[in-house]
Amino acid sequence: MKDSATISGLLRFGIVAGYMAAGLTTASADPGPNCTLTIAVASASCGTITLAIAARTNSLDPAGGGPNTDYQPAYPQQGLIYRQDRNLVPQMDLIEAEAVSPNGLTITQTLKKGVKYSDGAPVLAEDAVFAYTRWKASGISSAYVEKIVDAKAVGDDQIVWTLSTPYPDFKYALSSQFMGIHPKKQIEAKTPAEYFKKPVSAGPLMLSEWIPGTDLMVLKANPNYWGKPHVQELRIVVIPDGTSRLLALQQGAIDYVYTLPLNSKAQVDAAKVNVFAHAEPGTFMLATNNYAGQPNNALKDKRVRQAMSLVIDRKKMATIAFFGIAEPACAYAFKPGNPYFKCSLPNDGLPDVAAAKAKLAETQWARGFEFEMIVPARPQWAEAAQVIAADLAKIGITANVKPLPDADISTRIRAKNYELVFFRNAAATPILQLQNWFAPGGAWSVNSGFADPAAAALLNEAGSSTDKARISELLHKVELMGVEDASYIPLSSQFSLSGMRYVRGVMEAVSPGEWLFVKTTPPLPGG
Amino acid sequence: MEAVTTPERTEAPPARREFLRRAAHRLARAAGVAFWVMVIAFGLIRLAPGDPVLARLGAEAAPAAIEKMRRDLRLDVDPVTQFAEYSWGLLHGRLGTSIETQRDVMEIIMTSLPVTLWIIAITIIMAMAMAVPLALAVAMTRRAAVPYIFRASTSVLLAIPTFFTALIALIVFGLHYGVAPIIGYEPGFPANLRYLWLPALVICTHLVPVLSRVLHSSIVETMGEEFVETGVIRGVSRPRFYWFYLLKPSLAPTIVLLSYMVGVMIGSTVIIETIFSLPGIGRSLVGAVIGRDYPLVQGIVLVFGILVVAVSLIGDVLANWLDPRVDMS
Repeated sequence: MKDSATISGLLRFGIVAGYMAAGLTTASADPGPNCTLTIAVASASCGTITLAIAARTNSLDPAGGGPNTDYQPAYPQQGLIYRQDRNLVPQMDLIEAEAVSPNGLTITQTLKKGVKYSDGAPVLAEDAVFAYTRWKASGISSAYVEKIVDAKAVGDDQIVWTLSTPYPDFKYALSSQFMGIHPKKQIEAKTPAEYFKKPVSAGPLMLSEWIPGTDLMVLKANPNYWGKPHVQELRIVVIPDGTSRLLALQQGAIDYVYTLPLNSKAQVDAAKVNVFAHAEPGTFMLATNNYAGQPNNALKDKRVRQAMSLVIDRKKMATIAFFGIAEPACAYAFKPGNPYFKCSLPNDGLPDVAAAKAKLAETQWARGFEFEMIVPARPQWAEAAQVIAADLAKIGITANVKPLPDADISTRIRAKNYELVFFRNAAATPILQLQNWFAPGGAWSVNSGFADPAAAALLNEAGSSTDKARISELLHKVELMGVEDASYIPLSSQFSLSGMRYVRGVMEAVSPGEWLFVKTTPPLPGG
Repeated sequence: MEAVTTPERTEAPPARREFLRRAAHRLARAAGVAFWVMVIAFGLIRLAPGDPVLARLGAEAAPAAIEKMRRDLRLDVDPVTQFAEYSWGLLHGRLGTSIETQRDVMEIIMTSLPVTLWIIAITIIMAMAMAVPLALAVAMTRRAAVPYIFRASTSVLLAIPTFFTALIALIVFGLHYGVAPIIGYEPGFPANLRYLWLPALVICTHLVPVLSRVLHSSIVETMGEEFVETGVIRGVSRPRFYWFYLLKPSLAPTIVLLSYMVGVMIGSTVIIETIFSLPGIGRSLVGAVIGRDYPLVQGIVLVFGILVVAVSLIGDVLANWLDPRVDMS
């Protein structure tokens, strides 16, 4: 009896082994991508594109906070007054006209006629106002909406904005991921959490399949969008491990990855996979804690910070830690697409050990000191911090590099419990980026305790001006004030390494990763 | 003529009574373990640096938004009140709602747990299918070098980290030969086998050496028993000899070990699920810890604890059945 049970058990083993063998024979039947490198850009149209992201999307709520793995998939499926094109320029999306009052303080926008959500309901002006209200209440990136005093819906198709001062970056603010437009009535009829599990879309793509916090999201072309998307279906899959993402791309299981390991380029067949670097509107930097409770007195001396900035070999850091993909910084503001860019660091950011030693010799810490440098445990960030620590050692400064998970970094920064942090600062425009550092309420000025009314006044004037030469002059002055204070030490440009199995321009993430551009016919006006 | 008395039907036989007593004892112990797992999970995730609200909103969020979310999540009350509320929910069968996804924690666990259980089940089947013949063959061989080679090769396999084996397996079987998918998962047997055989094989590279070495030692020990010699003298059939005389008495320690290894395997699946992008509970736990998703971490750790206790109980019962000398308590 027991023998027969054993035999039956062995038979079950056999069946399992048979199924496994069947798996072996069918594994190679994965469908390939519909896009190939041979398609010309102008005519490129893809049935299905599979995009791999590094973490699960937990929320599609534009006012819900979260990382770019939440915002990136949300961007093409939300309505926007302005939408970022592939070159990071905001273009009119759901509006057809915009009138600015002579004093620049009132902006009236008119929605395109007949714009609808994916469920056929009309897009209303009150929905846009509601989106703005939710964003403002969330407090996220509040600097973007600081100059907006009021927003009102006039009828169904007009939005009237009232500003405190002229705001040249207004359209950049409206094109950000936080301004995603969804139907007010539907959100209020449910709860935001419930609605955003299956939202409707006023963007080029619409949600077809998704459960929050799972590995697959399927988006389809939105038939009610005013333009016809070139992508019919976008499958977003989650592959947390960087090497696995690269292998899946090489195998053909996926068509596009936004973030690859930085050493990927040499490992792929260039005829099949295009690996390229994105230059992003951001800067890697060191930020000192300037609050009174910070215990390290050496870091409170600006001459010490200046010495640290002078001794850092930015090119070496970019080459060793970032595989030469990053560009060494010579200013605070980002360079790509920045019309006001001008180097501001002494010697264009090149290291000067003798000058650093001389500067440090002016202080009581001429023989060096020790401090803790916290750094998010993201790929290559800790390595970059180690390269910096090696440079600082040349003038006797010991930096103890401590990589920490993002959540711990956030807590340490928020609690003002750090001496110096390696991080980055990215924004849609150079003015917004500098505001993050130097304006009251700016994200990094809050984090670091930086306060300089003079810098704030210059930035306020720049943010309200329409004179490009004047803006350039003001921003350069702010940069020089930053160099003098050296609470922040710019290091290199921000970037990411992507891989793609189809032609560029059809669909791709645009920097700094929160926006997913989808080509349409007709294209975005001006895009 | 003596009167025939009927034995008391209400009283269980002593052996059965003893079994029930031990089973009740084990269940009570399991409940105690589950309680302490719950307390430790609740405390540890809160002791760890980091904040669920900041993890969600980011370091740049405005203080007003942070305070609002903290209030909404009831994180503004003291930890004792939080624990009382959590325990009250548990008593009513509620594990809470995930902070990050706003989904019911039980729903998330019920979606991802089967994937992990399938990985473990397939791994156990594959490991036993490899370890038993291997241990038996090594024990039965008359060549002196074989046991040395066996020990050396199993030591080498144990020394190679699982994540390294997993990546090499992906490159060889996934990329080079194309016989295994690098990403994706299809739920339901047998469709899931296509996605799980390679991860299971990778875990086997650690499990088979351990199991086969323990089993090999047990078999060698059993071979010295008198009843084995009796079996040889009586000339029992070969399959009957292998099963009843050698394997059955030798398997008990391996089964007990395997049941404890399940806890270790759950740890291994966290890495395996990440590298193979499988939607198992290990990855959900990693994501929840990174995002400081308190309710999800607590729920998953509680389920892990219950699972490990249950499997070790099953292992003890099985071992007791295979060899009654094994003490189930």
